[in-house]
Amino acid sequence: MRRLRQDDPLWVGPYAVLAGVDDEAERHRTPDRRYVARSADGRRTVLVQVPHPGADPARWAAEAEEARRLALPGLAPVAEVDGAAVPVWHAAPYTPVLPLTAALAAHGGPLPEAVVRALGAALARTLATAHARGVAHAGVSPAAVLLGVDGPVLACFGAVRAAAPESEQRLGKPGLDPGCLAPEQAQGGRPRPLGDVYALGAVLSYASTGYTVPEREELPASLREPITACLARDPARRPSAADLAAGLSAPLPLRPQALPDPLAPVPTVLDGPPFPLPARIVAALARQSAGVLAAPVPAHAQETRP
Amino acid sequence: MFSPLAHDDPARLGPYHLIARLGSGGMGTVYLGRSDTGRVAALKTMHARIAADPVFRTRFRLETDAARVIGGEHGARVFDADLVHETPWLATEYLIGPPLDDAVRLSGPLPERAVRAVGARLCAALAQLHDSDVVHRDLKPSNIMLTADGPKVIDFGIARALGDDRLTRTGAAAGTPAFMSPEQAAGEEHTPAGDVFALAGVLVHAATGRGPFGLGQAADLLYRVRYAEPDLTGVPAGLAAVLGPCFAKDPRQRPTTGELRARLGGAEQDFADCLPEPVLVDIARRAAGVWRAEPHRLPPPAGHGLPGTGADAAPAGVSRRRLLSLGAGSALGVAAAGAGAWAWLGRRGGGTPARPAPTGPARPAWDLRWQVVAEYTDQPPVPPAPLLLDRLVVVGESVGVKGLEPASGKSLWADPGVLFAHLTVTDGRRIHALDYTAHEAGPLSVRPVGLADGRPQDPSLELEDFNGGLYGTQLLCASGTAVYAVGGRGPQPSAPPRGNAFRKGQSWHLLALDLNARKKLWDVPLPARPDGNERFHFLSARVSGERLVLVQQSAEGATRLVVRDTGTGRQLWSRPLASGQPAFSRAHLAVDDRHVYPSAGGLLALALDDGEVAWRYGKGSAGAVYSPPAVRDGVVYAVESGRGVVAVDAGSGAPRWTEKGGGATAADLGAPPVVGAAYVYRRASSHLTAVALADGGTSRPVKATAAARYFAHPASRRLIALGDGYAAGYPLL
Repeated sequence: MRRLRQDDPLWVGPYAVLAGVDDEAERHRTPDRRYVARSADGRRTVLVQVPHPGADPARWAAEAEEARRLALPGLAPVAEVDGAAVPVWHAAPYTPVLPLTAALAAHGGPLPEAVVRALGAALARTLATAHARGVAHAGVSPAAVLLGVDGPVLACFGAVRAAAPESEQRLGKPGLDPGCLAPEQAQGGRPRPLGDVYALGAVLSYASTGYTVPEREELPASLREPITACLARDPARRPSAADLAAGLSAPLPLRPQALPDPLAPVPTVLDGPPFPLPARIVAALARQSAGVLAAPVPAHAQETRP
Repeated sequence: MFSPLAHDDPARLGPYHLIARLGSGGMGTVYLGRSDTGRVAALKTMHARIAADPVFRTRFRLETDAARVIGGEHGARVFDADLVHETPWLATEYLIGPPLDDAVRLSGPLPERAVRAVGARLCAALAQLHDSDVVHRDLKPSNIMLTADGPKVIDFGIARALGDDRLTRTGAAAGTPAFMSPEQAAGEEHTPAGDVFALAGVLVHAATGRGPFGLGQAADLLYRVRYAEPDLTGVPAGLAAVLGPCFAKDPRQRPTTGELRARLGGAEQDFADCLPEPVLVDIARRAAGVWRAEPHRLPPPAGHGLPGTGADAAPAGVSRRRLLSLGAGSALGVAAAGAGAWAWLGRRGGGTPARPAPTGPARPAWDLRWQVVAEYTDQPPVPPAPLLLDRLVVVGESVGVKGLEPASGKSLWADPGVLFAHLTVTDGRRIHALDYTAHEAGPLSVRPVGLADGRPQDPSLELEDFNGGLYGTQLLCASGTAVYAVGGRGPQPSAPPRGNAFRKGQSWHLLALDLNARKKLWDVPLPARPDGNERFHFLSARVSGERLVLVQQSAEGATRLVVRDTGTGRQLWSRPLASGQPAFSRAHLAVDDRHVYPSAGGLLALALDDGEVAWRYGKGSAGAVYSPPAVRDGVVYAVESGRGVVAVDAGSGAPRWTEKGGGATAADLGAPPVVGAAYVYRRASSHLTAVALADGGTSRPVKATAAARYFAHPASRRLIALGDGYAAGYPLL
């Protein structure tokens, strides 16, 4: 969570802004400006997003509306869209989440291999669902991955489509992470499912190394092949999201050190296998949750209420 | 994690709209609330009726002060408090994580590095308190919340400033025996070194799942805390070496918090990295779960709004409090009510706890009149009961005992230092107690207890040839100048290792003692108990005329009804009490001048003189099951499964009436009905039903929970309830 700056809005639509979601350093890699905000009566706390200054508000709002309509599992929910407001915005009920970039910062570096595999499997499943509906996400990037206690959801739906119309150069558009832009999309091609796969490869590379463009040797052995395949320049040589999901979900051959500790207690109250979050990421989520719970609507927001 | 609000919970407290209950108990309720600015907080409240006692209000204020002292780094950040409100409340940060005892239950004993990390941080927390001249005095696993940022100390219910004697009256015996310091157990000053002792106990619990002094009744725990060595079995060797010195009986020998912190190490690592996976998963679930809490309020219970009933709930389903056996080996499930709930409130589970009755002229006739905190051991050897005298009711057992004015619940005295369990009896006019210091040999000594102050007076009788310190010693009942007791001779367990039990080589006797003549009237030998057996010889006893009626228990748990001559001790007759009911249900004794009405084997009358069946009710209805009976003014009342209350002529067994539209279930049969002046009260699922005494024709629900045990106090026209952590008075109509 980030304290508000001079150029942050105090209000977005009916919501008083409490804090920023993205760190200063990450803002340029994020297609949206994202805030935790709260309704004036204090009852509803939301994650609210507005486009970067300079983006086309109509295109941005159209994508948000499409995400709201789709409401696919694994996509970050969009509950409200106001395409007529200035700035345009969309919002959904708050739940503690860390952008993948913040998750790596909290963890103190690249994530463990098992976590990256689980992350990849979950994201690939989400993309496979979208692709089966004929929809390309067109906004996959580390910042678009919001890691919550139940695993990741994908935000920033349609960021590539919103950034510029087709056939226009997209490389260098604000908010687009160049490492996640498939070559065909960078040139202005229509975002297609295999472009999402490219971006997912970049995301998994980022999760395992800290960089979207990996040195092959840096990648953990079991991820080297799938990530490299995703990042093929030729879309035809990339795996489908469904194949990727199946591959990443398959259990790794057991190695001695991967055997469960026989002394480890057997969990008895779990609703299901939880997403394997590293300890410091759990701590960061709990800290964020506690911080937002304790935060009152700032007094200056009350004074400037629209 | 959250329970819905009860229909009569307040809508708001100060700026906070209430959203859910986090926990509740005899003292108050903890809520989740949201302020007008959207800040979410845990709100701890104290029942207005309890807060009416200035001692408790002071305690609440001191707790608030202590919470402010410890602050957000080692505790829950305090947002607001209103200490003068009728229902005083304290709003703090909602802590995301399980209490330490639940965490240990969830994941098993914590790994050593986690224990060290918890310990180092708790040392820092205590140091911060001690630097402000506050001692905690009740550090225990359920008072520590395990968040991802470290352990947080909550619940300063009995914390107090050093040298502050404002709370001596209720504070002296306060604390939780399993984690008390020896000096606290002895009623002496508990200094910062006492907190170090308790902290080491908490860490042993975290490392093994057991407290260092085991489980058991308060008196025995207190003894072990004072005299026995801690059991460090299962504590990793390096850690045991660090913790051992903290258990020195002499507080001056213990390390300071600073020294202990240095020896523990573990403060340097990221705390979350130490936590076992199941605890992390629980923390993650709580972090997200609190955002899904929606305000939800239960509808009023059935019967609400009947003529004459007010808007007050009765204590229904208050969760089981485990004050005296908290921690190790607890069979509780992992039903943590949520972070930020306080253990002294009976943190676990929802239910509908008591609210005070409204004051003022329009008070409805059926409502709760008073309620106080009253604690009883979880697994008592005999059924707990209040002492009922004409103008005095004694509730509680060892910690927080109170003498109350029965009509108003006004506290006349508290904490006199007498164990008011199986060692205290009343004949309705006087109270007698046996001297007892667990496992300390001494004569069997009967003392009168002062009605004005609850304190023991000079012994009225001492028997040098019995050892009053043996486990199994009982005072059974009093009648006229006689009291009946169980006394033993033989070896005192040299070190009381695993708590309470009979020992090989002991001999036991039933004793009749004349207190006026200061002599033993008679004694009869009782069967020897196998070594290690824990069952007391008698579950209950009553005198009727010249007959002493006893419910005797064998070493295996079988029960018999035994009748003896009060003058000679000679056994007149005996017969087994066989039924599927638990032993405590069979212990109820309904006796009048001619008959005993046993609590097993149907509804029948046995002649006091020879034990022959005088009559048996419902001969035709084979298989009918009855509750223990009650007898009053020539009529026997019992609850029959499927039918409700039946009233039977005590002399002849002729039916008087059967409750109209009754329909009691098997669960309603565990306790006898309670007879008032116009109604007889019985359990009906979760609450009580009052059935017209004259003809059983009308019945009405009473907003009092069936989970409590009820006793009639006709002199004050009160129905006395012993619930989970509380005692309450209702009108007995």
